[in-house]
Amino acid sequence: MRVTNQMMSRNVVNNIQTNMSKLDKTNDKLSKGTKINTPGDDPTGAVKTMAYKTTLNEIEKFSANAQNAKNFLSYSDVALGQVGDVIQRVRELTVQAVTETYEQTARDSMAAEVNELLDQIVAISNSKIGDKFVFSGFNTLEQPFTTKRGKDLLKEDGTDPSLTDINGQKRENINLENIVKVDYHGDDGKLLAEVDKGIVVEYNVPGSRIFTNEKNNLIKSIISLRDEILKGNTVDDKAGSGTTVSNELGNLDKNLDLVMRYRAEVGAKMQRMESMEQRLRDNKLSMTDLLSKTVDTDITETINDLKVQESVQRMSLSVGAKVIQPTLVDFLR
Amino acid sequence: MSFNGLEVGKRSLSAHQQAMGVTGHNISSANKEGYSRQKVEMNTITNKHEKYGQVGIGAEVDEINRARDTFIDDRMMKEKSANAKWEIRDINIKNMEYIINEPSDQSIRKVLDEYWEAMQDLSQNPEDMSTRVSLRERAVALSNSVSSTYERFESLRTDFDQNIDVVANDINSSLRRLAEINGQVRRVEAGGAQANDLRDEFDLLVEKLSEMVNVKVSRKGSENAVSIGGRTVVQGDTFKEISVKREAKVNEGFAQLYWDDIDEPVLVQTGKLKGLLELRDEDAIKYMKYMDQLAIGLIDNTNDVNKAGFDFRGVQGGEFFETFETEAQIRDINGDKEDEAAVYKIRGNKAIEDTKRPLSITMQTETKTIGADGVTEEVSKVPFNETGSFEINNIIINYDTSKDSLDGIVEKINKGKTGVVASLDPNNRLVLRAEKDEDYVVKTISQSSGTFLSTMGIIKEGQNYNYKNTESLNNISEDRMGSPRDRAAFRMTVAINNVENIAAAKGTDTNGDGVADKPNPVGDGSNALKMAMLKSEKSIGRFTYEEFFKSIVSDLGISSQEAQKFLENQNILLNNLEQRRQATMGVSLDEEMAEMLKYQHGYDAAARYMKTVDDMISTVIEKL
Repeated sequence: MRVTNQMMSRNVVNNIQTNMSKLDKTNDKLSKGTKINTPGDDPTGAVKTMAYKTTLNEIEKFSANAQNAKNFLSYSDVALGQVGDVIQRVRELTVQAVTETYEQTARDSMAAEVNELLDQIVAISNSKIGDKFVFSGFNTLEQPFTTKRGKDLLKEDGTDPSLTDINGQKRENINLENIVKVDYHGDDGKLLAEVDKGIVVEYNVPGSRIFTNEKNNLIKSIISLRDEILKGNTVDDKAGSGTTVSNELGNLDKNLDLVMRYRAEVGAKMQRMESMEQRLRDNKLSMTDLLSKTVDTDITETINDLKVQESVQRMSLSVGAKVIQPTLVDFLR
Repeated sequence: MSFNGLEVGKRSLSAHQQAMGVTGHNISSANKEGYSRQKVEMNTITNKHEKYGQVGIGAEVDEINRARDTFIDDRMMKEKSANAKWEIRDINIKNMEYIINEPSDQSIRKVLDEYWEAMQDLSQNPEDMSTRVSLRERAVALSNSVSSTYERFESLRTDFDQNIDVVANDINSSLRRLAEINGQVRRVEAGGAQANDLRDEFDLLVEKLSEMVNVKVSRKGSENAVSIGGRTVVQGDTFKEISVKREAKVNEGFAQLYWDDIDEPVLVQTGKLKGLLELRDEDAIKYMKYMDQLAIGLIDNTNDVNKAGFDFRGVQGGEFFETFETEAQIRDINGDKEDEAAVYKIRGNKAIEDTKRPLSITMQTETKTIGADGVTEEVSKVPFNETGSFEINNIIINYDTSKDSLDGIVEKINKGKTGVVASLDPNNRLVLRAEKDEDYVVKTISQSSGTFLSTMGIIKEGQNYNYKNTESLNNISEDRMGSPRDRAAFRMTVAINNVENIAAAKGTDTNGDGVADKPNPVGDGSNALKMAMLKSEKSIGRFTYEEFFKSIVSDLGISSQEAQKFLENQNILLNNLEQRRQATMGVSLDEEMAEMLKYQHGYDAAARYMKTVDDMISTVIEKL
């Protein structure tokens, strides 16, 4: 084949160009730190990268949700624990008051303590995380339990805050300062959180389930037990009130069971959230690893490539210098 | 002894002089683009002698020829055409990659991810105003991002269109110049001479033309004819012109290329022009439609969920994003100049509680009659028991209510490639939506046997719907939405102004019609959760958002890679061809130097010969 000077220089220029563009790509990979910078660099890799990034985002959100749910649950757990303790104490006091012989004044002070404990339960049932009431169901911005004292009800509908004691004596205005009614303003709403793709958990216990349960209303039981103590009732009383006391004590036990059951459920959910968080953390790690493997530049390999390409470039430059050589013209002097 | 010797010498001198001139021309044009090396053909001149036969009386330059291989030229044109097409594709697909900007962290997907995150936040803190505000901000960012992405593709598309105009003009001026050259060649070569440099110019120009559009050259003697897409457009010194037509109704007012004289479209097969046409009519529009699809999916589904929920004040939710058309409009869709009904979405009015069990169990109709005693009401339950079939866009779907659940029938419709996606709304009412491929228009619906569609409230019993018959709009459910038309993505905006109106809460159904009517309190974020979970549902046509972005990016990536690979190969091929061509037509300076020496020596020798002849003649004159 006939070879002309133009052909040779064109060839050299072409080769230098090819090498330069390879060098450029390698430099780009190194300086950006990523090997997939546009979808065209590696379509499947780009699609994977995108999916990993979206998944990582999701995982972060799900972790935050699980964390949030766990906080809520652990708050509920503590509150339920306290409620359990209070119920225990109420029970002890009541049993003491109704089984042993005390002066009515001693009973009255026990009743006063029961009343305090009732206040405490209401306070616990109104616990808040941030702006949210824990036991309000969906109605998180409204205090779930409000109390009415004897005087409030007297003002409202004229209910007499007096009690008639076991001997038929009227104890005037004995409940004037005591809690006689507790209202629930929440609902049965179950707060939901998505803690993994499509996995939605309930993380609250509506207060209506624990404190003002329809079947055995805890608060009503405590109120009526207190009233029985104030009336001077004991379990031995043959008249109807004796049965009331034992009935309400039974109710109290049932409530304690209920609280414990919910507490166990809450505990189990907390554990689930914890293992969920752990799983999400693991997922995040492996996802980050995958992402890095897909998109990040392998520094060692790329630097190696760069060196090889540099030396090829050097070679092609020096060959170029030789090819664009003197022509016959130089010798015709 | 005659003066013949001097004549021979003179001829030789002038022949060598001329050859030297050609060598000089070669050397000086060595680096001119498209120059083909010229070669001097010398021929001997003979006299007929009675005794010896032929007697040479010297040589003269007979022809000056171009060294050119037209076979390679033709190949070159073809390859350059293809190359130019892929070059323009490569550059512009890269531009599109920058618009989509994946897999970086400044992409529309990232904005969407942040929007989902904010929606999740709302589901956790529906009572918090700042969460609502940040969700609204994210939603605004999302709709801006969708519409600006759409706009960038659209402006890219307009650029392509303007470029097509420019290229068409370039082609026209090339054709004009080619015809001119043809005329000049004819005049020069009329005397049998070669118009080498003009032909070089012609070849160069036609090669440049081949980069713009597919051209073919047929060479017959001094006649070079050029054809584009099978039509001869340069013949002798006449040529045809391309005219650019724009009609508002055809192809959105974009440039269409016609031959000016016969009013027929130009058949563009390759070259830069083809690349631009493809980019304009296939690629750019594809990504614009993707954006439309994304916007329609987001708007429609989010609105549906938001409307089913209740806002901060316990008011039934409204639109989250501005919707497209609330009324099914009437317009000419298929371009037949007659009006059609453009319905995008039809929703039935029948809400069903249980969608998993067979319809015959879940859809019992209760009829109350006065009992035998004339006082008590007797309730009899009639199961919805039938086998039947209906047609959507002429695809037949068979069902049997004793086996199929509502979910099952929805699946059947979706598997049937009807061009309509069926789904259930938040209250489990049947919804039919037209797909992108059908221009977001539901074309026909009819119940062949049975009453499923009318029971679900999609069409009226015993009636059919056909979009061409606008009257039949009366036969379908009143709860319908007009086709989003074009540029839904561009027009995407957030409808929520007051963040309290975001319907984060669900409600409860108190009157038993399957539709929630009593709002849940503010702490309920379950409706927001439902909106957030749209993310993993198939809510863009048949795709989830993730699948959707995957398909955009892999589409784009493969286009880009295809262009790159093709260009790489094409570069090697073109280089190869160019080398082969240069081997024939290229000027080798060494060679020219040798030629120069040859001719110089020839000239010297001829001069010497003349001197000798002169001496011989003077010998005769002086000595005699």
